[in-house]
Amino acid sequence: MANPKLHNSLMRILCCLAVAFMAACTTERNPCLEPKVPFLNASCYQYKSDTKTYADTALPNANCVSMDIDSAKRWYWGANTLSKFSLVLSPLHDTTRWTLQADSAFSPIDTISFVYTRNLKFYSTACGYGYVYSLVQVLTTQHNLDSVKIANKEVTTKASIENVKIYF
Amino acid sequence: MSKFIFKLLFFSFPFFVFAQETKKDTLVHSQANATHQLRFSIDANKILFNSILDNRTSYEASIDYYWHKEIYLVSDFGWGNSTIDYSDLKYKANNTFLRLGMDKALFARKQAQDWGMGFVGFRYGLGFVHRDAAQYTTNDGLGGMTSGTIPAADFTAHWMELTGGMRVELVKNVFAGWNLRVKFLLNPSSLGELKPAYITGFGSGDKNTAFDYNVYIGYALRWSSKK
Repeated sequence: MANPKLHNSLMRILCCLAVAFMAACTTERNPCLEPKVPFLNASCYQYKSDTKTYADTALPNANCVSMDIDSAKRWYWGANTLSKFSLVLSPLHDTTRWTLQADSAFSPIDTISFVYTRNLKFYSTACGYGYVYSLVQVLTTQHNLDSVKIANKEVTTKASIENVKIYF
Repeated sequence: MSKFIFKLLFFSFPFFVFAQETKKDTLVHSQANATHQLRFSIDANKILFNSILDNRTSYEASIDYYWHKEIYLVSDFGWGNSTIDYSDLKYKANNTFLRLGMDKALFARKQAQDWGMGFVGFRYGLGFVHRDAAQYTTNDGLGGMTSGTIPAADFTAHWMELTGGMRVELVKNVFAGWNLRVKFLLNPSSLGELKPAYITGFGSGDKNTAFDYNVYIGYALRWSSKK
């Protein structure tokens, strides 16, 4: 093993390994590739007397605005023929209020209050912590809408889950 | 009287010299045919990278003992720490570790004094990890920002690893060599959700499989069995 040729080869291999390892070593954080903001997904239904069932109903020109979330990024202004709304809950409080107007031209405005518990969730080292919510109760005025029911109380980042049914 | 003493010293000198040569031969013979070797090594690579990387420090050392039939009993040990320092997540962790296992030389030694080798082996690793309290901040960009603290915690990590490498005797009793390692964490769930950025002895704390290599500098003690 004390062969000079072998020794030289060994040193070359070690140098290559060291360079490769230095290139691979980085202290940069991995990018966060998963959604961290949970949305409460609400769907609108209307009673059809002819079939005596509730049908998925698109609102003609809806306004859906939060009273507690300052950011207007997720507000809906004049949303045309939309039946599903993704609403944001506040991580600072246990209740978040949203107003809903089915038709901005003439409908009265209703207020929906979502009461929930906040649960801290660790996503990953890349994404850190965030909150998910568990709905406890939904309160609403009934100027225009009939009622609101909880379909799935867990408000997470899964977009396919329907959390709340709003009946007109 | 003085003549007698002089003659005694004069004639005894060859015996003294002979006795010294015999002792020297015995030593050389003993080294050449040493049947026992205990080698102490430190990982120079880790020390180098401690000065390059700013988020972790690790020190590793190894002791191996030639057992028999080209089998070496090996114990690796070390300690280190790591830091996560992001804008929304900050915590530190430190750990000590112990690895036990054995290496098998790929080729039998042709000469008794040839202790260089290529080898494969396995290890069982045990790490004692302490994570300090973590500071977190949540900011979804919509609903507001919150912050809090996750309490400190202690974990024990177990892993198995396969390894291979080489040792070359650069000068008498002084070795250099390297190990390549692939490691499999046996209890990833026990580390909790806030895993250390780096577990000394294993590798990245948030991966269940880790690859690593060591560059060792070592010194060997050798002796023969008394008959």
